[in-house]
Amino acid sequence: MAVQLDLAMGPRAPRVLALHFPALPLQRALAARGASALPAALVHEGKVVLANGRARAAGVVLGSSVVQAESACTGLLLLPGDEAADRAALIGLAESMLALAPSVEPAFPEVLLLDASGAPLLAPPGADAAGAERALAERARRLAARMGFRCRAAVASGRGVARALARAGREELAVVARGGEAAALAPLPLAVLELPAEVESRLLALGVRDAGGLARLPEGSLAHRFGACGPAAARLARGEDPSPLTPHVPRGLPEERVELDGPVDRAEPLLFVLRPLAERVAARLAGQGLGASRLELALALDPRGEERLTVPLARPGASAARWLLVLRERLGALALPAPVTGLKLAAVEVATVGAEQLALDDRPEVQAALETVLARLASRFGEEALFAAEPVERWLPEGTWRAAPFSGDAGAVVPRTGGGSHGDDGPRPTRLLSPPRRLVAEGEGGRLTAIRLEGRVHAVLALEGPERLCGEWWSDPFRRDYYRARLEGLGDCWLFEDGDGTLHLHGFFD
Amino acid sequence: MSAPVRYVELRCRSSFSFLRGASQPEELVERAHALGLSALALTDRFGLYGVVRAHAAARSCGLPLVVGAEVECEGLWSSAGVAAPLVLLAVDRDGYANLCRLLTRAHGGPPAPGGAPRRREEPSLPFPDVAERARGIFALFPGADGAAAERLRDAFGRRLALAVSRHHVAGEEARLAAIRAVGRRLAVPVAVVNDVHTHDRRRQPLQDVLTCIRLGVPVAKAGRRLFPNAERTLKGPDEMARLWADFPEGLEAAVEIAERCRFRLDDVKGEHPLPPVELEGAAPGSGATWPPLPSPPHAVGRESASSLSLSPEEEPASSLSPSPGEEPASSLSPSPAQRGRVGEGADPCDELADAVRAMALLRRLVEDGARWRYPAGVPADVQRQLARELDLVGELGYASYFLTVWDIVRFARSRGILCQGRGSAANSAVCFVLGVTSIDPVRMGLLFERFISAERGEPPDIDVDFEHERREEVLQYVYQRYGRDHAGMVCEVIGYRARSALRDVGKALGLSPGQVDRLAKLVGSFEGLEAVTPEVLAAAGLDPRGAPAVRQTLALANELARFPRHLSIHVGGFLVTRRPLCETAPIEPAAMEGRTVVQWDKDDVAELGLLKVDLLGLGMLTALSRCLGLLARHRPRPSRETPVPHPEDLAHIPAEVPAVYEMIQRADTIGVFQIESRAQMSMLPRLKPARFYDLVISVAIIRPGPIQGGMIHPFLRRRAGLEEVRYPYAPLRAVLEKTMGVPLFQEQAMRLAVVAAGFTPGEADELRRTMTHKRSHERMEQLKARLLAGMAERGISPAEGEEIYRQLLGFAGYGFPESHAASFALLVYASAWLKCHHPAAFTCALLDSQPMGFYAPHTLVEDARRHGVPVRGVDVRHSGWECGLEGPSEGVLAGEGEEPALRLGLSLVRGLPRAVGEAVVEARRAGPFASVGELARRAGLSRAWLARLAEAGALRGLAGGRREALWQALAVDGAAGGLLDGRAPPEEAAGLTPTTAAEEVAADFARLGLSERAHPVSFLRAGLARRGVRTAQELLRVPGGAAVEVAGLVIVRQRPMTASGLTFVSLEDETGIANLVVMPDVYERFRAVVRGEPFVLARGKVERSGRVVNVKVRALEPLALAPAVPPQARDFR
Repeated sequence: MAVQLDLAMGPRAPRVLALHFPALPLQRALAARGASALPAALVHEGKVVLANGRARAAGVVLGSSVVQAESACTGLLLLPGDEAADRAALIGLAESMLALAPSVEPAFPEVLLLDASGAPLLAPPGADAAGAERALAERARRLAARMGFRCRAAVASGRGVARALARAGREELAVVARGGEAAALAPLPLAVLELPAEVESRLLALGVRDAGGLARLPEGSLAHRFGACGPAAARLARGEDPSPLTPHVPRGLPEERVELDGPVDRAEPLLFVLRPLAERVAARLAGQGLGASRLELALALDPRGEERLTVPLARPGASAARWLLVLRERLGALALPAPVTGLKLAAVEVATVGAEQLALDDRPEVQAALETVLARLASRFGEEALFAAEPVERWLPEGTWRAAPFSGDAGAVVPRTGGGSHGDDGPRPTRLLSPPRRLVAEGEGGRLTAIRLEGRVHAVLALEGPERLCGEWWSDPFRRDYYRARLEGLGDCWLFEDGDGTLHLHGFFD
Repeated sequence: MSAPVRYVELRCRSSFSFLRGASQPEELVERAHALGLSALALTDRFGLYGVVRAHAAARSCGLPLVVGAEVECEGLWSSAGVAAPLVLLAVDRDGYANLCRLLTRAHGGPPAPGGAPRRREEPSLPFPDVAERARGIFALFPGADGAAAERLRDAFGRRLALAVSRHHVAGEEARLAAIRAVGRRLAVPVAVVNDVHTHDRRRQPLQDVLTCIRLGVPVAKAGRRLFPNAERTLKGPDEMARLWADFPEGLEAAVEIAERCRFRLDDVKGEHPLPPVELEGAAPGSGATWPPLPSPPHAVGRESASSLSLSPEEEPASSLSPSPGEEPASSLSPSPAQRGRVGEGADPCDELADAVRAMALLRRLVEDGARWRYPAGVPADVQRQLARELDLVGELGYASYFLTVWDIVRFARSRGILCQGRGSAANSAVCFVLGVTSIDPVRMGLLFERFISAERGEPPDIDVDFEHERREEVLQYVYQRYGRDHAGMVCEVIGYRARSALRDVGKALGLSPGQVDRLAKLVGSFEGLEAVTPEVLAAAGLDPRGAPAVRQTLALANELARFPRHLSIHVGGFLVTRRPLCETAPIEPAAMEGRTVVQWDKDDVAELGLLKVDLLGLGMLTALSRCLGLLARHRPRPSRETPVPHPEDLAHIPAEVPAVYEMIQRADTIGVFQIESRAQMSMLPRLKPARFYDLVISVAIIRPGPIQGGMIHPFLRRRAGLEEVRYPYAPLRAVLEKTMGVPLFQEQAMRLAVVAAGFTPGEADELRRTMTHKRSHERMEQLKARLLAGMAERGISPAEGEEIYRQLLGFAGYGFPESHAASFALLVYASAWLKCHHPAAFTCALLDSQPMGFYAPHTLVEDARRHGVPVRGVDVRHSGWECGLEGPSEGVLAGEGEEPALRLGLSLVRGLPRAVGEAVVEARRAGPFASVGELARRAGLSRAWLARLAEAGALRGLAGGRREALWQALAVDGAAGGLLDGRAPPEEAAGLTPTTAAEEVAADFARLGLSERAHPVSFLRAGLARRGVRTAQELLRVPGGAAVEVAGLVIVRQRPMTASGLTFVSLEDETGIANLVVMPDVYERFRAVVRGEPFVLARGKVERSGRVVNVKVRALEPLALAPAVPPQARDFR
């Protein structure tokens, strides 16, 4: 009989715990910097879109420009907006909340909805239903706090109701018993119902200022005024919200962690544990056609603390065996301050890797060896010691290249800036001397006949030029007249006379 | 001894290549002269923008200036899509005309038939166009493409040379050899050019910065987009000879080319306009048969007149006979070239004859006009003045210019467009009798030399104001009448100022946005970089010693300041020329559709003696026109007795009505032209204007010049009898008597120099202009010495001489000419009379002419309500698109003699398109609307527009209340043929909460920007009264020194530069306006409140000066009040 009655009444609204993270983008950005005590503002397209209490107290106004905000608040921390990071943070929180609830729905941008039906299972013995839900909410808030986020919580029947109550922010934690939703929502402003802006403004113009007012409007009159949204909004205002959660399915960059049974202070056992981790991460990457170009290994230390190793890889890949070669190198060189109690391996940087077609004369083992060498070099001497030269559009000859990350792709050349470039290079030597060597000029009748370099005289057999280069007056100005000279005993050389009239040897045309 | 080497630079870009050249034209010319160049060609990219300045500089140093431009020619060489550079030099006048036509074409392309040319973002020029207009142009081709050179040779024949440059860059020797080989093969001469971008190597950093600004990259990332060295600079003959020791014939070729280019810009001078002065349907000599000008508003004599219609003295008229040599007017008949458009058909050989005919016609029109202005006979002094002016006009050849202006004014009046000449033209009796101006300069004793001076040798400048909403009709008439080839607007060259230079240079040097902003804010809008002292920098946290980029930014910004940045349209300057204008100056489409501008600004135009007329827009003329139209239609009962209750034009407004002056003395002048600002309103009770000339003074005295010159207080003291009127030199009495010994007008400054220091009128005008434009410090010093010496000779003590000089210096830059002030004073009086006698019509006209004036519509409506005008809200049952007048019954137009009420128009509903409003009005013609649904159905309104009308309160009459109306509007399916066809479905009552009065007002402000129901502050009055807060009316009765609190809506915030940091705030409540004075320290403490809060409560002390009451503020706080969308204050404008 009871079952029949339930069916007649339609679906029953689920109990939902809603966590609202106010100003989540700012919380996320501050958490990433560990600087929550500073006045901070989040900036999007040059305008302040969020500001914490300290910043607002100092006079930072939402919508003001960066310059205005900086003028208003000395030491203001300006953080760039990053919607993707915000979403990732909420997803990360959602995944962490999976420890507390069987399903979690991220309601972007600032709310998580947890299935609270299992609250009694996690509750202390003897707790009633409301107590169990409160306990669940408190655990969720603590977990969020551990991850660096503050939130308000509300438990109610129905995802929309719980979400509205959490967003209303009257209490940090509210539990509304089934049947009390309408009364709880009634005094809340319309904004908490998150109606389309046009509908909300129209309702305000009609004098409807809160959810209670909306609930009182005749439902039959709403559909042709506001479309389907009207009756739905009125039902929500009355606390009728049977819609189910949409559970989150984890995606994104994989990471794997393991807690050790006991503290470990040697590399070999760690490598033993690390292998399956690496294989799982590698397998998940490979399934998405990705390869890691950078790994992060976090070692949880006993009793607290963590050692993190960033492991750059010479070439993106999904081979656990190759990763382990490098990881072995790094772990072997590591002096740990304390035994390790847990490990977390994450692919923190990935790239798409496709299948490769080998040519007849390709030698994959050579490529593999090169990768190993590069990885070992990077690990041993530091990432910054390994670089490739990239051409730079600049007139100063020794400034025409810069160090770039070594991609492993031989022959990759950065294209020149298109359009507006004045002239091509003149003759450029194959070798440049750094620094240029000073020369003594010898000549007669205003003509250069020989140069003296480190005590030895070299006759000038031919001379072309000058090519006059000057500029960079904003930092280190230079003015040089370059000549290509054939010098006895030295071959084709590149000379220049600087602004003081001093002659220098700058390179050789080998 | 060998002959000295000669060299001419034939390829040279100036700052007018816009971010492509780092030297001003004057700098290039002066440097070329100093280096000993035989001549210089200025060849800016696609333009002659800088050529007049270069011409002036070249004339003063005696350097021949070749006129040219560099273009990029499409389709010239084989590389598809790449335009070839080509330098075009004007050989003769025809070549110059072709060059101008080519540049015109490059910027606009061929116009659509009957339409205006479209603006091109990047100019371009196809080779066939160039070939077609090659006559008289010498081309320089800096390329080694033999095929292209061959095509150019076919087009230009012997007027072609190849150009080579040597800049010490890689690969250029091979390129030089290739070009010379092409030259030999085709037998085309090869000339040396240096492709100059700077006049001095030291400008290379600025050149780099300009490149970076243009490309939007910082210097550190510009790389090879910058020049590799500084060799593209002006070089003297000796340096070029050394550089080209292997090719001296290239230098000689350049000189020979320059010698062939004989055209000089002076050849353009004297090409005066010839307007199409046919007299439709009548021979000009037949007297009064030309289209009669409507009577001008009124003319004012030296003495206060009993009516503003002039009563000339009874003196016999004598004819203004032509000078010997002129044809008698009766023989005039327009030549075929004068009919319709002028231009290609006009024979240049006839110019002299045309000038004679134009002069004769002008004399005829002046005779007719004089009879019209002085029906009882032209006074002798007027005759003398007219004769003198006509002689000068004839001597200087300006007759056709006057006729052009007359023609334009005639057109405007024929269309019922109110217009009035202003500025120095009002000094001319000829302009007065032609109906161009409304002030009788003879009666006013105005100085003609302020308008035209033979000594000055510069053309006169006639400014005419038109109704601002209809000015475009006049502009398009000029284009249509004279043709786009003959008429164009003068451009305005927008140059870098200190602040914009700092911003652009700072960005190019890689300063952060915050640094750039702080740096830029160190200088005021009109300040120079000298304001940025090391102390100022340090205070802003920008230490130039620690940051080279800051130091470099300052130095380079200083060089960049005054460089041209872009072109804009001059506010109203029009050029009309006899020869096609596009053969005198390149014309390009302006950013505004339908407008075309020449590449020269007003100074350039003046330098070449080209005549321009300024056609300006004036909002008050629009409002006056509307107001007169309302009065003519409704003929309502006036608020005050008046002998002519319903004037149909300005000329019939009764003069010198005491009630008008009483109103002005009370500073009851909201909406009145020129005297409605807070500064004016605080001056009026002290000045107590009682006659027309007092209004002339009122218009002129509240200007930065008289304020900075310290003239106001002496004048007021003397006027109040508190200070003796004295003259440092007895003959100055005649000059300064009417302003009680204090110079207030530019004419007085000029006369003062004449009388007290022996200047000629022309010299006096030069003094004014030198002071005004600060053109030359050296010249100013010379004039000052001359002035002081002249005064000393006449027994004026050195101290008094210095005092006079200081006064002149103070107001010369910002002072008004008396003639201009008098022209404006006519409109002051007219608008004051209308406000005084017909406040409903006057407010209605002001509301419909927005945006204009000083105050927002809500303040105008509040003012009308305080003057007893019933104001009725926007209502679809009664409102037109515009505001209107109703009689005692709602919805019934005010009838003759009825007390009018002001009905707000649908145009006030924010965001409502005119078409929707007009659809409502049209649908209403068939009968009243019974319901919201019926309105929707008959007017075809969508639900969105219905809702907008409902939210604005315009449907209340159909639905019982604003919310009910919105509820009904949202239910209506307004689509024609829709399911319900505008009918609401049956439904239960919504039970909406009725709106409170405060909510109604708030909604009115949100949707209309005003409310006719109540002032928002009135809803707080009870609470404010309990707290002891005074109303604006009560404040007038509070003794000076008393501590008070006042509250209201902020309607004005101003911080004038002349007020030493004081901020003036005006608060409006339901009783009137309270004036606050905020000291700098209080401003800083309450900055956010002063700048941002719409409603404010202020505490302070009352300061009284006669009837002027201010509150000197000690503290401010925001006043929480209903309107969610408050109206805009007049903020710091």
